[in-house]
Amino acid sequence: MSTTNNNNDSKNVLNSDVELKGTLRFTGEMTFDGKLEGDIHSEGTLNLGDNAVIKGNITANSVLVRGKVNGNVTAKEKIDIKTKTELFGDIRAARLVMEEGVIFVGQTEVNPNKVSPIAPRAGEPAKPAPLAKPGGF
Amino acid sequence: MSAIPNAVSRNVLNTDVEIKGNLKFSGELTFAGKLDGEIQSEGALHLSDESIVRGNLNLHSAVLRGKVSGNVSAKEKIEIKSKGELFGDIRAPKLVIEEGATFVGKCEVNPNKSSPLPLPGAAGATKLPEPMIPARK
Repeated sequence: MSTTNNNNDSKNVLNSDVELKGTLRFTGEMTFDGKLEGDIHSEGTLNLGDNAVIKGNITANSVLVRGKVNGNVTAKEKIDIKTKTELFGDIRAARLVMEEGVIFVGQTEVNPNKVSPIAPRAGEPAKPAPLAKPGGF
Repeated sequence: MSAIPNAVSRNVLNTDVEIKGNLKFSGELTFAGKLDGEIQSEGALHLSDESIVRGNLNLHSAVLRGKVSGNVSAKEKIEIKSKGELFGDIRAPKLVIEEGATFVGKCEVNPNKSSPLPLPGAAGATKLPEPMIPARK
């Protein structure tokens, strides 16, 4: 009944001519190659293109990162950072793949089995001292 | 340096998408999701039956289906398809409304910028007839 001439009902495409200010939500799959000032919240898969410029946080099931991202990226499943990506922000995911040639400044938490560091001697904190203060660049 | 003319950028947002904010594009967008905000474009917008838009649309041309609350202005043409619901004003050189459409609002469809004939008696007066419906807002 849909007038959309798409048989795949959740393949969203935004090309490099798109500029968005605000919050974007979706549940299926999205290819985004435009500019976004704002957050992405999704239960689905986000594929960024080489021209993508994002200022804001990304939350999705899995994210393929290309282009420029200024913000934190959180994925329930997997984050895949392709070459030539510029990512300034923190990463949290169950699995992480990073290609050679990436610019990445931020902290990561990739810990699928929620392993904690080897138990320290009694009285010491369990966490290692952070390399940098959060947001202290 | 603009997009290649024969390869118009085709953007697609399906029913799983929700946007709060403003969207800009220059190619073509087929939108079936929910939008709370404005669209500004030099291109063509196709709203699908499922789309729900609250906000003003400013485009080159637009095909309206679904539900729109807001003003629509187009440089070229506006089409309201049979299941479209538009609550808001229209401004465009060309307008097509299919049977079955809901449209509550004002229209300015005047490609040659013609003004009404001067009223008899009032020399040179080009006053528009009094509106039947008091202006909303």
